[in-house]
Amino acid sequence: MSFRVAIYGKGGIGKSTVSGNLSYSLAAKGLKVVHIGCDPKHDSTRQLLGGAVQNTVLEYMREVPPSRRSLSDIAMAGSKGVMCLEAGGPMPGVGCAGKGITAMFSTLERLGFGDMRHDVTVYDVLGDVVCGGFAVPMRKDVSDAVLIVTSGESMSLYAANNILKGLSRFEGPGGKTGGLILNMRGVLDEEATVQEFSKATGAPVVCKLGRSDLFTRAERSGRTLCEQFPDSDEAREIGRLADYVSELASGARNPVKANPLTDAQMDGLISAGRVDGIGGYALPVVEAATSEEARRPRRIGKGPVAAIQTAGKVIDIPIVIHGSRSCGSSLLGECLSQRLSWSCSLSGLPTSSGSNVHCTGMSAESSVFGGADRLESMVSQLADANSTIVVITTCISSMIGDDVASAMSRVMESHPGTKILTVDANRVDSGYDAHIEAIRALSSLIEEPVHDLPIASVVDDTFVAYNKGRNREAFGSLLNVFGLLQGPGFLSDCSEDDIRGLGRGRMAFLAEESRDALEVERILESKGIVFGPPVPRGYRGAVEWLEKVGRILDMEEAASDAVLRLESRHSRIVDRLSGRLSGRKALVEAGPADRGWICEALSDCGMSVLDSDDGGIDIQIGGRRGSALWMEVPETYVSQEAESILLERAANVLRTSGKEGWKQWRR
Amino acid sequence: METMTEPDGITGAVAAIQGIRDVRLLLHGQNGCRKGLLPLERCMPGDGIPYTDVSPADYYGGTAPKLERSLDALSGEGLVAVLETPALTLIGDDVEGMARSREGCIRLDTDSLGNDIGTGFDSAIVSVLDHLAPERSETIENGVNILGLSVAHKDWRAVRMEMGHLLKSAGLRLVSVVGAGCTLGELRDSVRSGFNIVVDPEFCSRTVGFYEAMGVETVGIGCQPVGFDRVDDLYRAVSEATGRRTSHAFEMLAKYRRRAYDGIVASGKSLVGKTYAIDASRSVSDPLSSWLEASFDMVVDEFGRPDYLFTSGPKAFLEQASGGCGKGVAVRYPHLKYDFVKSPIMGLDGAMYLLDGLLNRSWPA
Repeated sequence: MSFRVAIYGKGGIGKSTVSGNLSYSLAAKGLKVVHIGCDPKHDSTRQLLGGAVQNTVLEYMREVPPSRRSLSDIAMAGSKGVMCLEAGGPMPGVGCAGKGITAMFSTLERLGFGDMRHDVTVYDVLGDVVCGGFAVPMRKDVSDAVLIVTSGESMSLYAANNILKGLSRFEGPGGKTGGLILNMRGVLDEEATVQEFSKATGAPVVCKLGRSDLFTRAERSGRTLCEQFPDSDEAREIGRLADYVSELASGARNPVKANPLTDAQMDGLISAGRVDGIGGYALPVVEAATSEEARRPRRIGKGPVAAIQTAGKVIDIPIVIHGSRSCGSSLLGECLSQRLSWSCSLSGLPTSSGSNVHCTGMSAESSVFGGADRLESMVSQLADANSTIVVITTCISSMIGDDVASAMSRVMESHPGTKILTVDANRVDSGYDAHIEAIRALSSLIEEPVHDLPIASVVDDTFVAYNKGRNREAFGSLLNVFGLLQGPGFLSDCSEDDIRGLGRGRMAFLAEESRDALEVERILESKGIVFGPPVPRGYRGAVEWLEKVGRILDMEEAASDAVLRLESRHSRIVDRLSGRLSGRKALVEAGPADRGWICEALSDCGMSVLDSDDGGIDIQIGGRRGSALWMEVPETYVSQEAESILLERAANVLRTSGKEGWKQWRR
Repeated sequence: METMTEPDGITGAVAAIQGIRDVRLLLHGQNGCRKGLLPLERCMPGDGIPYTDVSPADYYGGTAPKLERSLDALSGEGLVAVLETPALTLIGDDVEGMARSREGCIRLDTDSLGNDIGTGFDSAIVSVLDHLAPERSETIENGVNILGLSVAHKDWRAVRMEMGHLLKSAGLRLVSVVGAGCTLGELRDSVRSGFNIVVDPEFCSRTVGFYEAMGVETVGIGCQPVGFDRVDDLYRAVSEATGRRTSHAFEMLAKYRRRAYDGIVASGKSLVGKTYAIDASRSVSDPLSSWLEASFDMVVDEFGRPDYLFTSGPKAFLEQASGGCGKGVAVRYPHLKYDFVKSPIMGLDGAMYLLDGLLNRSWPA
């Protein structure tokens, strides 16, 4: 089994130089060595390959399908037979190199790297420990010891300490710190400072290299110093390092468990050159398990889910989800389930099949190399045939830093007639905020308002039940009192043209008066949309609404007549149902928007509404089922329609035993 | 342009674990990622899929503490399979190490689950089998397994029931339906069967390899048994391979064909020249298209508005509602409803379900 040593250290400290020379020196002693460069720059193996640049594992993975891959395609034999591999990674500015490292290790494992017979594996790892991906070579199952290249410069020592902190996550009781390699820069008190660091952390200094231009001269000839200048002092020192690594490999020596310094101790070392005691850094303690929280599923969507719930309501604007295929599948499902629930409860409204939802299908490869190119290509194709496109980003695209904005600017430049609305669902934490982002984007389509049509639109019905039940018909009849027709909603199965023409209607009405809906109102008011009072709930809400709108439109007489009709109908409902409901007790567990009208309707029929279930209630409305008879909060909440549905259903439920015999079938 | 919105390997892996009764899935990711898997919960109702509820802050802080907490909460509940969402694999937390350090815990490798539901299912099943490392001691006489059926397949319970009955009538013992309502004990015993009967090759190519390496032979017809002709082929193949007489299956096939014949005559309808489109994997589209063309003289749609569209439940409904097709027939995941009435597409009942979709005037399933 190969002994595996990972070389870490601050960027530019000389890791590649040291690790390349170490690999050569080990091979020169007769050991079979594999040298793996874990840096996107893929320059670690150059000095072992006579200056040649080899094909990287990650590029190979991109070009060759899994069934045709072979380790021999990516491993090159270098000086003294050192087998060389380079991980590779994305171009600067795109993708996720850390993900590339994890992908490389997985690939090597699948290609049988672990079965190869070699004595030592040397990993040359990028810079500091910057994320989980670059810490992979530190893991128990990947390396046996870690060597850290440092100098006496403060930044280099901070980096070394950071690496020890990262290493402490993966060490077992025995430790994996191989030691420090001092690559001197000639700074003040360099050796003394590093020795103090070594004493405090327990990480031994196992190699000391002075400044020498022999390293540079060797690199220029595409060789390691040990090969070019084998009789130099530096080569002999590296030879001693190789002996030390051989002893670690044979078990003659063991790695240690280092003690990283706290921030205060590091400050003391840098400012005063000394550390009191040993390193005092400790890993944060993991909280104890909370079993119920961990196990109970929740159903609230966030970010991208909310964004597609909103944008997906526009039936003819294509949506591109920039994320994994898994995101595409689940977000499409979310979009379709919204349309399905409306299609089932509505008639006559247009609907769409969801075939206008696309996804860039980011794979592990695009996580490494970036996915913006694919996004640009997909959106460009759609832009050939569409005047507006919505792009929704997901967590992966944000994490790897895809420059979506620039990519979309380029598409719009090449397609001047197309507008791209980008919803960066990951800039925000909550679903509601993502919903507002989507609203803002879509509202940019609204044209200059002229209010020339006798229609009214309901706004921001996204998270409420407006499109369920008979709300549309009920509200429509209220609008008819003033000669208004109900126009397309914003946004309920509306089209792009409906959004553009929102300002042609006379007025708009919020579906509910919530914090988020008021934010939407502000956004649309800034576009010149005129709002009346929100859609009413319940009988009394409808009366108030009629009176208010009558005053706004200067049609008080029409409003008054309608109120009289409502009152008359209300009396008939109460008379019809009081006999069955009066004297009964109810518990109402509805949200604040519904609670008021429900309690009023029940009270009008002589029911008592209690604050809690004291064992004496006859029926519970909404909330989690208890022991009493239960009914759901009705989907219809507008005007007298609401109360008749509520009261009739309550009366019917009270006629039952509530035993639900099917629950015995499980036995 | 491919829309890349079809269920992928992660869905398949979840289906696989949901289909093994004493394995618990732990989804390591955000709640939004879990939402997309809720339709699978409908396929196999239970306690719901637990997840670690990672937040955006955890992406840069590390997710290990939340994973540890969730694993603690599930300890003692049998084997736990941890599945990371794609974004979580970017963080580089040592999930593999955490899983290995706990007894009764395995990690499913998200990156190797592939792009479609079948490869994900296959990969997850092999992961569980690898973990179990079952031994092939003495063979179970006349023992067979069913491979390639998942809880995501349309009315998988009906398929299981029908095949179980017909195989039993041939004197065969159904040891395990791998990944569709099986237990770990059945999986351990499954390597002692003589044969694996493959009902969907796209869901079990690696699993087949696992079993063949242990000496379990494979029987299949290269596609799902969709339509009477393929059902016929399957039971002939089973008979030939196992040496058992599947005469009862052929008797039932004859009865079903007769009943179907009577129904088609009674409907008075002709499907000749009617167009179809199939939005499903090859293991469905190949046998289905053959059956539609050979049995009913239907033709594949060329103009973008087929008379019949065979697709997922939601799409079937919405395409029909939006005028994208004449009639939508649900044949694959995701499903729109729970199948109280038997509604598979495989087997004898499957053929009748498809006929119902073709010839009856009803709202799409």
